[in-house]
Amino acid sequence: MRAWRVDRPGEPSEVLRLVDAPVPEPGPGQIRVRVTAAGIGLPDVLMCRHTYPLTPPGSFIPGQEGTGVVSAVGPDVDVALGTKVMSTTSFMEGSGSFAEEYVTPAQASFTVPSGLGDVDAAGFWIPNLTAWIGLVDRARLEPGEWLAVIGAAGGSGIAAVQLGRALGARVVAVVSDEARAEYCRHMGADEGLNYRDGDLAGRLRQMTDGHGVDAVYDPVGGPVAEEVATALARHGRLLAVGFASGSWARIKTINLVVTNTSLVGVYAGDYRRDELDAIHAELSNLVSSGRLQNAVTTRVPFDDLPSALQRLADRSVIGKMVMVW
Amino acid sequence: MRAWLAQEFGAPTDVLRLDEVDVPEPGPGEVQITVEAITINFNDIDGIRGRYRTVPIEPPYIPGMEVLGRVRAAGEGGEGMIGTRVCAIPAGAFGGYAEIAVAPVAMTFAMPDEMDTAAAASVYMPFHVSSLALYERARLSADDTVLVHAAAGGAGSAAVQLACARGARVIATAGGPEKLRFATELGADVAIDYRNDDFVARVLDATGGRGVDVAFDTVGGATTLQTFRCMAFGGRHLLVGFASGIEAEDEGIVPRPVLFGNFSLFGVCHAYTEDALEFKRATGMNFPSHADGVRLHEDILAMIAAGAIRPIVGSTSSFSALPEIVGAMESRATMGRNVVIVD
Repeated sequence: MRAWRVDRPGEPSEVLRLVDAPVPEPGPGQIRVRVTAAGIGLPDVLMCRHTYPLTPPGSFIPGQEGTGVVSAVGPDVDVALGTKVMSTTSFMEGSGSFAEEYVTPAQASFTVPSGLGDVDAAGFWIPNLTAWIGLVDRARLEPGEWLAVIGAAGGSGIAAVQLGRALGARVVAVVSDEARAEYCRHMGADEGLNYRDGDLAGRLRQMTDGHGVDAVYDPVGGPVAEEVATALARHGRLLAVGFASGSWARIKTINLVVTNTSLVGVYAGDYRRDELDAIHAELSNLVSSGRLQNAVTTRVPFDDLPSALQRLADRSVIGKMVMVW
Repeated sequence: MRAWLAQEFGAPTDVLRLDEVDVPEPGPGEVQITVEAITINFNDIDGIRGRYRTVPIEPPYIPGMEVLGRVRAAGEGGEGMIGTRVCAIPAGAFGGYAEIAVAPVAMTFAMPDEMDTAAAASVYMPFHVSSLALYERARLSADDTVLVHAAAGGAGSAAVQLACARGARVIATAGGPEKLRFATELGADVAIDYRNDDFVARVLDATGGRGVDVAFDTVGGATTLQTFRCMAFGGRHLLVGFASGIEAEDEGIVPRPVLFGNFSLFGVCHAYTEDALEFKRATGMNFPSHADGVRLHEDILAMIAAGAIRPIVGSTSSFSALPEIVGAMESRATMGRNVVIVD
């Protein structure tokens, strides 16, 4: 089968090689999926560079999620061939979705929410699951609360903007230029702030009449997150989701104390199937009732994947990209 | 009036001197208190050692951040409290080691006249801090397992009691058999001697490997980082104080272990203000209002009256022996609250 493979660490445009790879065989508990479309995210770039914590050793095919149809099943797996699925992949074992087929545990596959096409659904699950875990489970975001989303125009951030809006929060998108602010407002953010304009914390406090923001969704880290954290309201929650900037925010414990705020870890990897089913049902409801839109902005043909990942690495992408066959 | 002054930064028994000083006058929003008893806090020692960051001060000055007494005069806005017996944090969190102290109304709460002096002096800081942490920030429930560090100390002994009163399961850490026994008497289900045992392994053993839902951490530094390893999925780690030394906090922490642990770090600050929004505008800090504090205070007094919790008096000293008890507390030789009677 055709696949994009990484054999050594480096920039996506340099290290992704088109190869004829063996079709992966599903092991016990696994299914094989013939790929319709694959979600593209910053972790794929970080995996090319070997800087993502869950990068497998040796050669691997990246791509953390996708949609497609079941083409084979492992021993003891009761799933009909031809079933349409939306799933994460066994990328940690080297079988990602930037290929014709990937394998994944049957436990990691879900039905495509009605109202989402296969292409839109390919980049839906990881960003929206993470946003749900962060905003609902971990932050217990209430309607009317102020939510600031850092890196809001990225694939992870825009999911949090839309879900925050669907949950009834007032959403401020924190971005790096006016085009991204405009995109976020178009996607449902109440406000868009360019952090390059300075005094971010002061503007956030002013925007909230001195109250401060109740929650910050932070897939970015670094100095921007450190500054937004100083605008948290009492009982405010800083959700540590990732480090797209390349560095974590460095948070002083004494600042959490004097501001009566919290640093909240958000990691989607440890959830049980019954918990994931419940979240899948909630998200599917939001989609089918029209309260949550898909955020796919760019469809990338399979052959163009390296240049698309490089644009993501270079921060020149707005919104969510999906690879299509 | 008589007062203990820190003449310079250093060891409490070396630098505290009894002196005769002017009586401080209350400004607007402040009350002047005839001090009945002084309760010693670790922040006092940080101040005397020259490492108190929240309110920097230069010697000579009068330390002392917690007093019990009676309001004798008041500035504008505090007149209604004249004649009332109160517990209070003096203005700037110092000035309490004296016969008369001035405190903001926002940090002053009424105490029942009939309560014994030492007991009444032992209520305010530990129960307000622990209640803000466990009840308000962590929303503790009966289903939770709580780890309380320094469980025999002032704040820790209050936290153990408030957690037990809520029906939670309590795992306590303390140093030495006497403190462990004390924590168990207060209601702790498991008591771990952090000096002889790997507390992380013991906490994981005691929770079937799951970890604790809530940690009450007044220690900071290396203890905070070790505690990360015994937090349960979705746990709330309460940062309440830094008794191991504020210097260790300068480096800051990165969220990586917090993210992959799926737990939260909750900052808890005990301080009240009259105008929370104006205060935030001026300082960036989020403090509860005095009205929030009054409600919480009334709940604590009701729990004491009902026998659900009790103030823990560790020692009582005379005013002339104040430096010795401050020194003993610094060397971790005391349990419960150390009260100095102004005689």
